[in-house]
Amino acid sequence: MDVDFIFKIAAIGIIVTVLNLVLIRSGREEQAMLTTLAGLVVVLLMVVNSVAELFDTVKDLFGL
Amino acid sequence: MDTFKILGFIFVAAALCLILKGYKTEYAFALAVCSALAVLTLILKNIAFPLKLIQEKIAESGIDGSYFKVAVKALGIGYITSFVAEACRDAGQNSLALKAELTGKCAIFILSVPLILSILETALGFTK
Repeated sequence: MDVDFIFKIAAIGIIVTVLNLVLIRSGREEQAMLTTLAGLVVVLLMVVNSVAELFDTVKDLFGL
Repeated sequence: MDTFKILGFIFVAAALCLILKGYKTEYAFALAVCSALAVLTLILKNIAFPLKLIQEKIAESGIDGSYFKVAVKALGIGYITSFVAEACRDAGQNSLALKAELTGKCAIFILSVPLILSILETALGFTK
């Protein structure tokens, strides 16, 4: 259900932050930027999927 | 899932958002939207049953169901519009939030036009 989405996103956010710091410390700014972008894409895809799911439920329930 | 569990869940989600906001604000926004989605889905599950009950009762009682249908549709539109508007405000886009609300209002107005027309007709019927 959606409940564990929240903790997945929080986990991805924290991991990407740590990865970012490690990559920046080791001097690879570009990879750090790419990791943040990749993490963001994954999270946004998950959010878009669950938004679509909510809109479908509302359409069925309220007969829109 | 009763109300206190949902409220507790919202509290935890808010705390997680705060943590993430410090490092990456875009993740905090995604987290806020996702927790709002989870809560809305749970509430929908609770609303579904009484709504069906009322619809059946109205269908049985023979009253013209179209008025109630329009009300339920307006409820659905309002439900989604407020979700999107608040998500935009979370992201700091107040103007986008107002645009979303404007869209919702126009949709509900369009929905209610047949209702207004029928009321006007009955009113005019009395004056003749």
